[in-house]
Amino acid sequence: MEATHSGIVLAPEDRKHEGLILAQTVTFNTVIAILGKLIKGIRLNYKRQEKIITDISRKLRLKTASYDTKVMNLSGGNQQKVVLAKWLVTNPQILILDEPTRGIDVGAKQEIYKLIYEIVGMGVGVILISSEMPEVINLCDRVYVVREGKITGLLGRKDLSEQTILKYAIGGIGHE
Amino acid sequence: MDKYILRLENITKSFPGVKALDSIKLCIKRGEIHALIGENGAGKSTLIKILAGIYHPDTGTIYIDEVPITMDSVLTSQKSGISVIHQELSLAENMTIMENIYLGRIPRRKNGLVDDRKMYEDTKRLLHTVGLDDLQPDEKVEKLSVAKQQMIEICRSLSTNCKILIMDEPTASLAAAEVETLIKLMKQLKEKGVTILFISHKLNEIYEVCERITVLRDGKYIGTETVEELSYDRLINMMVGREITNIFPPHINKPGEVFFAVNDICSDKVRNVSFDLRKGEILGFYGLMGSGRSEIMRALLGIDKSKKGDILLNNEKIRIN
Repeated sequence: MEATHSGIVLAPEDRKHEGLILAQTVTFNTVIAILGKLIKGIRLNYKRQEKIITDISRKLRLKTASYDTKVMNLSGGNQQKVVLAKWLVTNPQILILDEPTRGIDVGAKQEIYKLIYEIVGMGVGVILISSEMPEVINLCDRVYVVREGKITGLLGRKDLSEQTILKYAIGGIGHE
Repeated sequence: MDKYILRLENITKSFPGVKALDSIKLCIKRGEIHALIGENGAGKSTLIKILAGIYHPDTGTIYIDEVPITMDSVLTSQKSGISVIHQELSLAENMTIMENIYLGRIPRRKNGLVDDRKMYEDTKRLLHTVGLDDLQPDEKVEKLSVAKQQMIEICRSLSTNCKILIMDEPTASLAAAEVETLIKLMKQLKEKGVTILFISHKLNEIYEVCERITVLRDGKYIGTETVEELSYDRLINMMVGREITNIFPPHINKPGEVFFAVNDICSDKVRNVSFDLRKGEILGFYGLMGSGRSEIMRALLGIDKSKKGDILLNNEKIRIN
């Protein structure tokens, strides 16, 4: 079984190369992962496609001139929303977000944070990879700290402080 | 001779919406190995790019041998004796070692033809300096390991007679034995009078080779100390304390039961990773750049081949490869 079929999806860090087809429309990018379900015989179910897109973009508060706009013309924050839309329409059980707020402005960041809460509210498990300490401390229920390909610490919400996280992230002197 | 070979004063650099560097100072003594340390986003990379002539500072002055330099291009930086080993290797893989070393400044004979022999012999000598006597200068680079390619980059820097060698996390992608070789080489270069600015997250290495450490945080200069005087705890304290702006919605999350468990997965870059995830949980993965967070996910998803371990989703084993 492939990961996507088991309901695990990844929104990659490099959304411009791995997450989106920039020269394609919002519609195309949103349904690309579920095209198989929308096509019957040789027909594409346009009605269903439109419903899916309207629903998800309302949920994500996507700002775009139309659904035929090419995603390269969207702002960084809205591009990130299209990446989220693309995976959310597959009804995932686990959503892995790799640096979801890199390169987007503060306002858009705040929106993404709200969306993350909404997504977990639906029962989805979210794995948030982040290099932003404040993000990790404020949003996460638990945090695994990684160093040199190994997990060096697990911290619960009460123990989340910059100091502790950094100690695990950087390692001590001499006990390698 | 002047005490400082490289001195930065009040360097500020802004990008739209962010101040990446805010009145940074940095003093590098002649012949020392100086560590630059800071969390992700502290401004190290921006600072290196300024020294390499890739970015231009908004304000501030760079002094080399106490002479102010306008670092307006990569060429100026090279001419002032700065050489940077970037985190990502920048060799042309389908060219030979000697062509890579002399790329852009191939030696010529009087009649204008390429002086192969000079190139070959000079390269041979450089390879000897870094302890790679077993390599031939006319070998292609693509067959070499990452560690060796890095050495070739160092050779290239040496061939330009650089005075200041900047190494941006050179050990991030090396195995333990290779790290040792590199550290040894750094010490040798220091003996030869090369000054090194060493960017690393690994305290072991820093405390082994460096004399002094400069800490950056949030684009600001926090301080410079000798390794003897800077205890581990104090170093951590210097690194933390970023301003947390309150842009976060209140944390109202109530995770459910565990439904996903990863046991002991391994891949080329991931070692025995186990973790679990609850329904509706926001589970963080924090690590410094290159720590392997994305690689864990890649192994999990079968993008990178995982060698062992298993993954349970709703108590059912799933196969991913």
